[in-house]
Amino acid sequence: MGKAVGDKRKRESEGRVLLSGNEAFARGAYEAGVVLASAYPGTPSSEILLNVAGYKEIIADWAANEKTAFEIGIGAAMAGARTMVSMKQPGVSVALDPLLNWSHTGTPGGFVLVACDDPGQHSSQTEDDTRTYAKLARVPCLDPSDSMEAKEFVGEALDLSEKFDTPVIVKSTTRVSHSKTVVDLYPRREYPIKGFERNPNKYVVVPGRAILRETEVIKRLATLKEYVETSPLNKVEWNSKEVGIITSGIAYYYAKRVIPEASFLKLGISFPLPEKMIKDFASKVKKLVVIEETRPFFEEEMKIMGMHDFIGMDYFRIQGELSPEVVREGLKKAGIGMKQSGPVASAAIDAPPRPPTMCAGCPHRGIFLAFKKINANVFSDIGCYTLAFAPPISALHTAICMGASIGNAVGVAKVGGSDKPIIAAIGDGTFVHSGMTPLYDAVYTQTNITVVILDNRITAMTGGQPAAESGFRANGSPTVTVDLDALVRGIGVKFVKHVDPYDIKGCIEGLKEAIAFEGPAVVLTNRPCVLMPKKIKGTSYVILEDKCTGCGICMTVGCPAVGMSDQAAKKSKKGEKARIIDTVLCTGCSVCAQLCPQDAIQLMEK
Amino acid sequence: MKETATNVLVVGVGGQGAVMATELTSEVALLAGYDVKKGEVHGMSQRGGVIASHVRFGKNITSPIIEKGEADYILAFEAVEALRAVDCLKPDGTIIINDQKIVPPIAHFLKIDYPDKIKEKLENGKRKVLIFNAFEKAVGLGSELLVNTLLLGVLSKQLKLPEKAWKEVLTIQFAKKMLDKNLKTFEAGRAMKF
Repeated sequence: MGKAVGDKRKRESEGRVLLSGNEAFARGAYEAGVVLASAYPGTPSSEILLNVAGYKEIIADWAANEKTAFEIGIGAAMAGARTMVSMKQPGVSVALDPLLNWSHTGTPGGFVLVACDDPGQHSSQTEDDTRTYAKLARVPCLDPSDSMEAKEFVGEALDLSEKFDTPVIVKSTTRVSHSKTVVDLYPRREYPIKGFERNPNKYVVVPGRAILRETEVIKRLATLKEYVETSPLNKVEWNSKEVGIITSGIAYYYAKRVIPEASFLKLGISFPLPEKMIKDFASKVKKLVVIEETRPFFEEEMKIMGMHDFIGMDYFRIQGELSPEVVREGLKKAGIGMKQSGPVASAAIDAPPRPPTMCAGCPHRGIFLAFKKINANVFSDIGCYTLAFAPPISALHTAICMGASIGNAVGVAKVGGSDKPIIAAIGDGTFVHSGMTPLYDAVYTQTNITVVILDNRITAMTGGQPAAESGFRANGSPTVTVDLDALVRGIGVKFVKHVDPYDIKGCIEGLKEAIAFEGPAVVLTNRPCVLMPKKIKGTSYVILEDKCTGCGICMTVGCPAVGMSDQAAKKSKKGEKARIIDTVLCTGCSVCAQLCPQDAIQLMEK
Repeated sequence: MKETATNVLVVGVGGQGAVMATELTSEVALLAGYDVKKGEVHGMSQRGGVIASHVRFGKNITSPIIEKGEADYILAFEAVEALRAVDCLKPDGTIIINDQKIVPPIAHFLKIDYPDKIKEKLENGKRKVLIFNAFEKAVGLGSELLVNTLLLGVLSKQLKLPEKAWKEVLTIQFAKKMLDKNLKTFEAGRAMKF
């Protein structure tokens, strides 16, 4: 089934529809007259640009990384166009340099950054909080609770941006981005593009000028602090004054679920905070509670305001996501009575775990099995292939952050710290993101490492976004394909070898040659992702029952198509040792067949 | 502004179509005039991991996620996933299970057997446990691709949402040449006796 229902409805110019937070951010960009959208994919933010690309009024593209996405956005806003940049929260770290400077210069065109936090680390390396970046950059941060607000806050952010000459952040979380809620659609408002106007005193951040901008930023923050006291985005809902809750984002709805009888101060703007409003609210309620996700940000800000008499994060959680359950338990711990008791969990029943695996036919499988055979120390990176760290493949040993693999390998090699071959394994997307510069370091210092670029020609982990190696753009239109071979040779790599990642022996030979080469060597794999942009399905392999001894070596490839089966066990003399290949899932990559010592895995006869 | 909600939890294995099932259910609830919220976590789950997708509809819906012990209905696309999700079910809730076994590849290494007697494990005297092999039945109806629509037919019979709204959503969802087959499959699901 496709996505037809939602797609059809969200293209309508007016009406009431169900949208995810990310679809709503995209719709918000459309309605608020955004002209350019730029992003780097990352869960839970990726669907924002994917959906923006469906609006023909907006120029939408994936950038090489979050920093270039942000800088392209700056350019559009310099030309006076309304602009939206989106990324996941760890991506904001990559874009921090332009964010801090763009805050200093201010922006002629409305500029909004949508940044998505991932409390609970469903898909992220860290559990950080975008509000801390907003404070660092001294820019406003809006904090929607549902999809309607997600849509409206994009427009609000652009208005604020233009009014106060500042980039504005809209912060989301996994629950806001990925939950669908009811949204009213409005037509698009158009804003003419003003065009680039020279103003070097404002936009050239040399020290003599930048210091003047610092004064402006301090003034702006003071003005913003005044503004938030009366902004309609910060709302008080008076109910019982026994308990008053200060909250924002999805936490607002969790608290409403658990204790609807309380009074609420719902902060639509989570930086800067409305000090007078908060103190006034606090003075009118008997017990004050702060419920927030992810860091104790409001709590720390309130302590700076001299407030200490409230129930804060210690009662709720110090790690992971909030939920109605966590909020309820926290309130109980704080001795706060609630009118409704929560649901009682039914008894759990044990179920075997089901961790994610590499897909059947994934081109990363064979090359990682080759790394294992040559017993290399594998410094790796962020992508689908990071799954190779887990059993049964267990063939990579580090993954620190986007693009870290090559730099890490260079460092280990420089200190002579590895008695085994050193391999940096990085996907094509991640290589373009931030792997090119450390490869330059390897060339510059002639460090003896082997860099393997796992070129599947798509950003697969986040859902198949195109990159420079894909040959098409976010809206599907064709474009040139960047030649990675020419690129690495251009950086100065003298040894470049292409291998077929489905051919384990060929991979081992190619890797051995690269390892033997003095100086940095690059090995490129040449098979596309089997899922995206189009599904690849070859003739399936089957296991010949009379040849199979049930040794289980085929299970060590960690392929979801190769397994044990109740049905096979029932039919086979070997009972529970019987193996079977799911011919619907199997793409015919042949990796398991290459490993079978009995030659029992053969192509299915047509 | 009190919340009143019907909670439907759909679970399965990445790629089976659990998310699409909640997608359609929530569109039907919206069409029927309810407030609706649908929640889930994407991320790595599409790589053969566990999928849990939540729909809550009614009046003034607050949280998009169903708490443990709060689901009125669970629709499980896979048998083990029914076991994993059952702590979310109300004591007298209904659980619909596609009795199709997808053995997690990791089970081999952990030397864990795929659980048997799923129905017996789930029955507690108060629950309604509706279990059948939707995969085999869908193949019998013409295609394994019909599993989703068949299960939605079974679910729709349990939910108090108008049949007309279901058919309207299915009509928008499916291309003309596939519609007839899907409507028939949906009817077959509604007509199933347990």
